Amino acid sequence: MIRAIAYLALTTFLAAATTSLLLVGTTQSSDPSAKRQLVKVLGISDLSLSSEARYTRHPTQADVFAAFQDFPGAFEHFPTGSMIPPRPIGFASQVRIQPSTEKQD
Amino acid sequence: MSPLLTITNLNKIYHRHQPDEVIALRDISLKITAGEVVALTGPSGSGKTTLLSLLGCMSKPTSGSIQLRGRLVSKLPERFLAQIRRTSFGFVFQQYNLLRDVSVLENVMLPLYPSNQSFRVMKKTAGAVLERFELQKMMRKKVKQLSGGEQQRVAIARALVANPDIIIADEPTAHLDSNLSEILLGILANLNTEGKTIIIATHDPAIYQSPLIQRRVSLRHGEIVEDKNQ
Amino acid sequence: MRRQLKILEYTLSSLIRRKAKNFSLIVVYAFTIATLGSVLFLTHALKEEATGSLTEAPALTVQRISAGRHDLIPTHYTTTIKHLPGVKSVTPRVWGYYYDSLIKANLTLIGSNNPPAELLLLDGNLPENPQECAIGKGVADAFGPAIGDNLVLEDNEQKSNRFKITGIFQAESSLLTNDLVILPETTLRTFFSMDPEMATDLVVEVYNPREIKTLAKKIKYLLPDTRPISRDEILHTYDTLFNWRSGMMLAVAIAALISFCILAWDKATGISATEKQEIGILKALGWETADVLTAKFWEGLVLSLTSFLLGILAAWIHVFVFAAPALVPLLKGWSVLFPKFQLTPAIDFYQLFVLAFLTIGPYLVCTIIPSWKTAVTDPEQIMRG
Repeated sequence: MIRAIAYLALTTFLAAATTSLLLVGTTQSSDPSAKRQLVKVLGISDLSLSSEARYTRHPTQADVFAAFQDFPGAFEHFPTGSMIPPRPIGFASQVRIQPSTEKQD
Repeated sequence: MSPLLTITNLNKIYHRHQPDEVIALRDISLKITAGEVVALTGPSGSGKTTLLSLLGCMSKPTSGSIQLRGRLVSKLPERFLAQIRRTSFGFVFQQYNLLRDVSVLENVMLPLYPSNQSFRVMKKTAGAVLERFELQKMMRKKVKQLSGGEQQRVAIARALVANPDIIIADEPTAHLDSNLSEILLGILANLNTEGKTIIIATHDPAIYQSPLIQRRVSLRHGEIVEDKNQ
Repeated sequence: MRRQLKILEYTLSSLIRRKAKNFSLIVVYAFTIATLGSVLFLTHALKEEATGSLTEAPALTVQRISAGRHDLIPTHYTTTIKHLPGVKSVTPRVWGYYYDSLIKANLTLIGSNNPPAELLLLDGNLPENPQECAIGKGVADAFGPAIGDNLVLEDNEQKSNRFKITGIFQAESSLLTNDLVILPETTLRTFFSMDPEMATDLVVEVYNPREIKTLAKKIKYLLPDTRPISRDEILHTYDTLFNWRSGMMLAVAIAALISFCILAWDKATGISATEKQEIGILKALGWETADVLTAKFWEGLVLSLTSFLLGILAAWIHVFVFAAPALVPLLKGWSVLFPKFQLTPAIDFYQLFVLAFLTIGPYLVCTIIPSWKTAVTDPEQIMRG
């Protein structure tokens, strides 16, 4: 019965490790007061996750009803056009978004 | 002496009321006394294996009754049948039916899992039986690494591990040469002297003509055609 | 109890017998759980982060809408709003976006008035004099300057403006401040060449938060070209935003889940001839149907529970120790300034429970049902080989 006991011990250990990690995580939640101070002083309304367009930088402030909100070539709203940048059209020279080529120049 | 196993008017029909209906056994009655060595003979398809499995509580008859030590077992629910198979019968199958990827020791231990024995006792019991058949050296080997004769001995060891009263063997010599058949007969003779009842289905003359066999029951088309002591 | 342990022992040894197969199954299973778990952990933690710190966001933000678009708001609207009962203060704000062609990223420029002496998450201090600025960590990393250096930004007339950096926000606040450049309000007005009579929006503070809705209605009535946004709406946006994003990611993950299901279904239901024979042998040797099913139950539980625990552990470590390197590209897209965030672990136990229920449960059923069909038949067939 060595295997059975070893397995039960291992599972108990794994379960205990997982639960304690989960619980420790929730109790550990850092004091948000410093961040709240920042939010209050600067009047921040949004997380600065994706800064490519108004509707992704400030989703709460954006006018989601306007067509072509920021970039005529932007084809959808998923976080910053998902993985693919919009294709530059028109007066594209001003808004070329190809970081790699710039570095090679 | 009161009979150990009594079967009365036993019928077994497969796929009943279907186009491929097969009547395997017809109106069989038989009494087997404790300590007897019985050979069931007959051509293939005569119902030997069906009769063995009914005697061994592996399946239920279509009609008729089976009594073990005076207790009616043919109507018992599956749970009790399993218990009876475990405690009263030891089976040696034609194909051995060993788990090929499993070690010899674990194969022999299989019938003991549902018992109340502790794991340590189980190992000890299995070890003792293996020793008896001089298999203790290959205890850790996998069954598929063994020769046919060795596998046969493992199968017998497994049949005996729970110390049953009745040994049921189905064509035990089908895959053995004459030398190994001799050895097998020797083992069976030993078991009989210990008081075990032995029921063998066979069409090997080396077995049913041997002095060990006390009684020969011949089957044909699912009916008993001859039942004689020899 | 002893019997259960013995059957577990048997199950384990038969699992070990097919170790390559079962090990790869556990790996795939755990990987699927880890993917789903990571998405749940990440989005929940981000949501907590947003709702935790944005509770101090402005109670009401008033924007002006012109031609269906967000437009600058006249500062004299302040007077109208200030006279409404229940309003504590109205502050015009100046902020906007700046595209920097050098690093090819958008920055958010915020004007500040009368900065407080000290901010906890800021190294240095907020700008007090014209031509000074404070910047977020992401901006600092992209441009490479330190406190005391200059940040050069081009205004509308393509004239270079130099701002001395007086403060850099700490990395811990990156989720809020990554792309920020804080300038004194008057400097920012000049930089954007904004009319002094105009502001970007108005921030309204109220005495009683319960009146926010009524106030918003009144503002909308008195100033029909405005759009008031309440704090509740901000928090609600984040709630739905991450539901939506995690929904998208889950949609991607669903492919993994489905392929896993096919694998599990195939493995569990397609009970092989060998397994059938094994069950038959066990039954013939006196195992009860219940014993066989117990063995199968243990088999399913050992595989699924172990995988679940491993997967959840992996997801936790992936998200909270390594900051979700595998998921960030999905959130990031073609972002140039993406914050390096370290999330505070936050777990939704309800979600976790649902995940456990939806993965372990079906797997157990898939394992037991087909064996049950085999286990209830007579062991007689085994005699026939």
